[in-house]
Amino acid sequence: MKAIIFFTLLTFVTFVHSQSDPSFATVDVTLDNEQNGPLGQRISLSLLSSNAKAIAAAMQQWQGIQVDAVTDSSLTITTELRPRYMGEVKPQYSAATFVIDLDEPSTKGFTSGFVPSDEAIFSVDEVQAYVSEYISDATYIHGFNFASTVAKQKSGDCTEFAVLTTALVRALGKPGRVVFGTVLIDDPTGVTAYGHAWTEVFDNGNWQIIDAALYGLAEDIRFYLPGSVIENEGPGYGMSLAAGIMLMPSKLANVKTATL
Amino acid sequence: MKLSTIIPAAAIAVTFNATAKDLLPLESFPEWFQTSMVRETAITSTSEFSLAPFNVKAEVIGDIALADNAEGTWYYTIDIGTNAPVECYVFNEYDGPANSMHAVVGLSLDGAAELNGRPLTGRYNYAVDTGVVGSTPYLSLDTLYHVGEGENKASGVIKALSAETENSLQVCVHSDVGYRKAFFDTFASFVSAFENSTENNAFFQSVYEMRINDIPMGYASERYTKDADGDIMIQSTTSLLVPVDASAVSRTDSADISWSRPDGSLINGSTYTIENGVMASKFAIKSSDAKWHVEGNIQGKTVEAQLAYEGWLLSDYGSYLETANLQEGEAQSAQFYMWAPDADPVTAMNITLRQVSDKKDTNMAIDMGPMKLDFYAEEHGIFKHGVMAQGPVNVYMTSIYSQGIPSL
Repeated sequence: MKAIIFFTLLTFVTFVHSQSDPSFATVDVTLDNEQNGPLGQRISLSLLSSNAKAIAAAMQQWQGIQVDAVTDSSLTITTELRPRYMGEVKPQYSAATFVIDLDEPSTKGFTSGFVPSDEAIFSVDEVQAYVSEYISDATYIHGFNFASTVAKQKSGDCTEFAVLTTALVRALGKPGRVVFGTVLIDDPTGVTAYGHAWTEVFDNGNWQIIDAALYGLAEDIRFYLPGSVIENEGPGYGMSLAAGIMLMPSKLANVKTATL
Repeated sequence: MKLSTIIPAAAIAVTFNATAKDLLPLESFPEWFQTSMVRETAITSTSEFSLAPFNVKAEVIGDIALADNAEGTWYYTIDIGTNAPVECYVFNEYDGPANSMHAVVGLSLDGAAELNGRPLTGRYNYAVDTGVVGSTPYLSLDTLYHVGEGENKASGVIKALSAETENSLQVCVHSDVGYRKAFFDTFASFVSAFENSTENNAFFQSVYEMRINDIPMGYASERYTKDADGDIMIQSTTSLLVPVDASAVSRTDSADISWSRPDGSLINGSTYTIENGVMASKFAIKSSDAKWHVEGNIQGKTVEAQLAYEGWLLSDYGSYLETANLQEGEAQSAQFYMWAPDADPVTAMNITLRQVSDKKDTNMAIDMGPMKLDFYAEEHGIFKHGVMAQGPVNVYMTSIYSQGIPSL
C-alpha cells in the first residue's frame, strides 16, 4: 500500500512544474485592492502555504527578496523581478551527474552543437536561444527527464528546458543548477502564476537566471519566486522533486507594486 | 468506422475545463451536438464469446465477431445496434492500460481521417474517468476530434475504455457520438468474460482511485496471495492518464511484484514503469550476505547499488499490519524503513506512521521524507481515503474496491 502512495505522489508531483500555464501547475493569484495598472519592477505579495516558514527560510538565500512577515500559513514578501542567489558555488554545480549527464553521447552531441558568437563572452541570450530552438516539441507529457534523454527526445516542458540548459552551461565551464519555484507574469491578459523550473548560472561572480522555456515570448513583467534546487542529482533525485513541490505556495494574494 | 459516425461541424468551440471529469463542458457545444452526445440505446442482443488462450467462454452483450487475429492481438467487433460497432482488442503483450489505450485511440483517429479522406485537424481531451468492473479497474478516455477544415470540417468522438485482467489487456473503442452507457455496458460485459475465466485466490485485494483537484487520473490496485510456504506475494499495478493540457495526455503504467514474510518484512521485489510508450525505469531488490542489493535502470542508465541500511524493510503487507498495530495499541507513532524506488532506488526510506485525532475524516498520517499524506484507515489498517494537499495540488486517493482483509 505505501509503495503505491510513493509512486502516485511522486508521479503527480512532476506534473506541477511546467512550461506555460498547464492546468495542474496554476497558482491562484489575487491583486491587492489598491493595485491599478501593470505591476512595477518591485512587488509585495503574500504567499499562502502550510509550509510558509520553510518557504521563508529558503527565500532568504536570494538577494532581492525581503521577507516582511511570516505566520504558520502565509508569508509576506517584497521582491524584485529576478532575485539573485547568494549561496556558495558548490563543486557539484559544475559536475557531470546522473541527472545532468554531460558524458552521455546525446548530451555531448547537444552541447557541442552550441557555437557562441564570441568564444570569450558567455551570453545568456545565446544559451536561451539555442536550448529554446533545440527542444522542438514543447509538451507537458513528460515527468522529469535527464539531460541525455531530453537531448535525444528534443521534447519537454520547463523542467526539461532547465535540465538541458544546466547541462549546457556546465559544459561551457560555468556552474549551473536547476531551480524550482513559481513564476508570476503580468501581461495584457492579466496576472497569472504557475509552477515553473529554470536554471541559475554562475558567471562573472554572480548567479543569474536563465529561462529557455519562456525565451522569445512576448514582452511581459515576469517575477521569479524561487523555492528549491535539485541538490540530489543522483538516482534519488525524485526526493528533490518532492521537496520542491512542498515549497510551492497554494495561492499568491495581495499582489501590488511596492514602493522603495 | 462508418462515415455516419462523425458529424459535420464548421466550428465547435473548444475550451479546456480542468475541473470536472467531463473536461469539455457539454453546454458549450451547439444544441444538435449536445443532443447527439446524450443519446442512448437499449442493447437487447447477446452472443457467445470464447477465447481459448485465456480460457474465456461466456455470453456477452451485443453480437460479437472476431475480425482479425495476429501476433498476440485479437480484434473483435460488437454490434450494439448503433451506426458503428464497438471495437474491442485483446492483447497478450502490452505496455499497460494507459499507454496501450492511448495508442489504440491514436490508431482510431488515424482511421477516422483516412476514412473521411480529410486530415486530422484537431483532437481534444473530452472526458477521463476510472472505476471498476467487478474487481477489475479500468481507465476511460473520450477524445473529441476534427477532420478537414472550413466547410469541409467534421467532428467526432472516440470513446475508449481499457482494463487489465489476468495475463491480458482489453481495450474497447466506439466512434459513434453518444451512447456512453451502452458502450460502457458492452465493455463491462466483455471484461467480465475475462475476469470470470480465472479463479481469484487473493486473500486481500483493493483498488484505489486517484484524483488531482477532483479530476480522476487513474488507479492503483493491489492483490495479496499466499504461497505454499506461507509467504505473501503482492502484485500491484498503477495506471495514470493525466490530461496535461487540452489535447495531450501523459500515460504511465507501472507494475510491481514483491514478496513478504508473514511478519511483514520484505523478502524481495521488482518493479517497472512505462511512461508515454517508453520503458522509464526497472528495478529489483534482493537480500544477500545480510545486505540489500538493488539493480536496474532508469531512462536507460544503469543503477547498481548496495543500500547503506542493512536492517529489515517493511513490505506493503507489513504496512497494513503496522497500521493495524498502531490503531490497536497505545503508541501514537511508529517508524520504519521501506524501499520506494520511485522516490530513491538506492536509499531505504525512513517513514513515520502517526495517529491523528484533530482532523475531520482522518485518523492516520504518513510522513515520507518531504511528503505527507493524511488518511483514514478502517479496521485491519485498510486504507479508505487520503489526501496530500500541498501547493496548488490536492492529490486524493479513495478506495473504490476492497475484498478480504490484509492479515493471515
